[in-house]
Amino acid sequence: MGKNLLKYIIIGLIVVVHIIPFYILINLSFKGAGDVGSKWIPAQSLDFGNFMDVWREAGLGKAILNNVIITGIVLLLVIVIGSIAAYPLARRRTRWNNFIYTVCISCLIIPPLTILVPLYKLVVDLGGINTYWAISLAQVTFALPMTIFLYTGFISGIPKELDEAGVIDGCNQYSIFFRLIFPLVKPITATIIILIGVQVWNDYQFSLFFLQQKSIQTVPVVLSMFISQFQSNINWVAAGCLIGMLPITVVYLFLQKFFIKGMADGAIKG
Amino acid sequence: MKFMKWQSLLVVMIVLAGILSACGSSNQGNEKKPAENNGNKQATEQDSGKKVTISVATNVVGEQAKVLQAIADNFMKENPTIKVDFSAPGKDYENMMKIKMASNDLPDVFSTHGWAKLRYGQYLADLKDEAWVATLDEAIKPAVTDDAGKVYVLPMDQDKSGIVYNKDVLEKYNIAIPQTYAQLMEAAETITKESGGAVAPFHMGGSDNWPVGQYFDYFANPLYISAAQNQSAQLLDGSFDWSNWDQFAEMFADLHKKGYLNKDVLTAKYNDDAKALAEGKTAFLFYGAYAIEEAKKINPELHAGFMPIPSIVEGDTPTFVGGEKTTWGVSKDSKNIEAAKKFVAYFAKPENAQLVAVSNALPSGIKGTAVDAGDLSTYYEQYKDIRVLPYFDRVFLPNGMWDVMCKNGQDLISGGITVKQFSENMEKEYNRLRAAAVK
Repeated sequence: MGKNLLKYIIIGLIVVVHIIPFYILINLSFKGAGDVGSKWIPAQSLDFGNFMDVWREAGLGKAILNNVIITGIVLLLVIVIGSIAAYPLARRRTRWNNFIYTVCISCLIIPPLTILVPLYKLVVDLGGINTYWAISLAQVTFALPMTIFLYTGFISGIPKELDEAGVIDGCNQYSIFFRLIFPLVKPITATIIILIGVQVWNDYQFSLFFLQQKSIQTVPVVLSMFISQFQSNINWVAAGCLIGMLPITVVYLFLQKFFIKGMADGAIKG
Repeated sequence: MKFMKWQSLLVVMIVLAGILSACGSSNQGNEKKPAENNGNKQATEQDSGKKVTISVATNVVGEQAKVLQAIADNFMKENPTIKVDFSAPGKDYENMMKIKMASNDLPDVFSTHGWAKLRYGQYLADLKDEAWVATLDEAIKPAVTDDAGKVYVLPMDQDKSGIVYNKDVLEKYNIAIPQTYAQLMEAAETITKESGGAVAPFHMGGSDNWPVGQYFDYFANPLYISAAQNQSAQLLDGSFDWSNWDQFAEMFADLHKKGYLNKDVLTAKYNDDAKALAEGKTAFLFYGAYAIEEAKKINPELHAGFMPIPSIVEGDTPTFVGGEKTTWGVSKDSKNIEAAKKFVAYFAKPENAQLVAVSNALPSGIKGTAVDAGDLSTYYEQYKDIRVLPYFDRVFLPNGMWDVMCKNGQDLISGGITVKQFSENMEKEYNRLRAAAVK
């Protein structure tokens, strides 16, 4: 009994810690500009004005569409390129493949912001500012190492006999991969959709520099225009954040059961 | 084993290459090559080469940005061949501009938020041949032109910052507008005592760090510059004795020690300052009139006033700080420089500059327009003869000192450093940055 009670107290504490930021966010999003009470005090009334205002002023509809387009392109490319690259890396452990794998993994260590200036110059020279393709390619580049790492780890754990059985049944390399291997790595694909998807969806630094026109900006960038040195409309930003995180939350709930399996499997079978 | 070594060497090399490429680029940024402006290129191609697009970027957001946008929209209506791409990225404007300077991709027209000469000077086209130059208000001219006659930017308004106060609070505690620093401290003492700590004489959003710098920028002028006997020459030629700074740091530390600042000074933000003014929880703020505008959003009934910065040295008189506020500069590498200049000229029309000035509750930068700053007009009128000095750090400290001053100020009240250390840090950075600037 005593053990259980302690367990529930600890669980309760963890739940509270996780809920507090959401409480503040939701609370702020309902507070009007004249409501000067502390962020801890519940809003005086349930006012949806902030949501409507931020939707209109920030053009959130268009921004969410941009998010969907960019995240979609990135995920598609990352999953296709990442899985295809990981398959031979996992199956043929030659020196050369190990070298390639090492190069991919070491890219994980480079903090993306350290190469911002040269990358920005490159994108400017290529004419990629305010385009979907430039921001998507940049995101794909930074997402690929993680993707290859996860896929390689997982595919290594699939018995080679499966490939051999495929060969006996008359599959070539491509159909082995697409018909046998790819369906098996679904948990990893779900993990990548969530991990990389959230990362790209919420990206601020790259989007801020590459997407300068309002018509192509994503949710985090349009919301940032409500905050400046001299004024900030934190209630609108809170409301905008709530709207902006809804789509990704839905996707997360949908893929959650795969996600947990994928994280655990990819981590163990390195 | 040998193989493992190989791998780790490779990892190290790739990481180093990544980091070095970032360092290297800052040097390349100084190479002057014509900026490739893609937004423009694409748009012009689409419009069969007839229509030009200019990119315009500003640091302001909210109402002020809307006014700029509305004028830009009118400009487009009158000039159908010019399309304006207007962007107001908010708080990351400065970071964005630093990246853009490093990669020579500045917008055609951009605002310089107080740094027209020092930071953006070498990237700006000379606007001296523009017709509006003759209409510039004399008071603002020194801030946007140099001795050689170069006109850096169009100032649509002019900053005139002093101390804002809550009238009701001053009336409640029977306090007259302080003329000297000693009177200001007396007032603070009265408020602290009589309110029992409920009203903070000064409210400072110290976690934002720039509000701390405001104190030093405000009072450095009366302490070192504005009096007849002053140290401006020493500060400029580098012979300033930094042990003098002890007194200044001590003055600031005293505010905190004596309980004159809000208790949450290290966690409060600028917005909390405006809120405290609106709610009558503070008497004075070290900000320009913009803080009143912000506070009125929370409490439209607020009775707020505006006063010059009290003098410190015996025999000196109060001052304002000022300089450029809302400006447009034209990138010298702009591909559509004519269109960009036309855009700027449109904002120089007295009625348009007036709109911008009114949105900031500041005097216009263009001659011949009456100050229409709402309730504040009376104050501008009342104090029209008070001297307006430039911000201390923009003139007497090398570029980069602002952050040093803000961070050390924060450290001082958090107890991280002593008054002596503050002065030493200031001296060290002042010498280092001066040497770097001379190079």
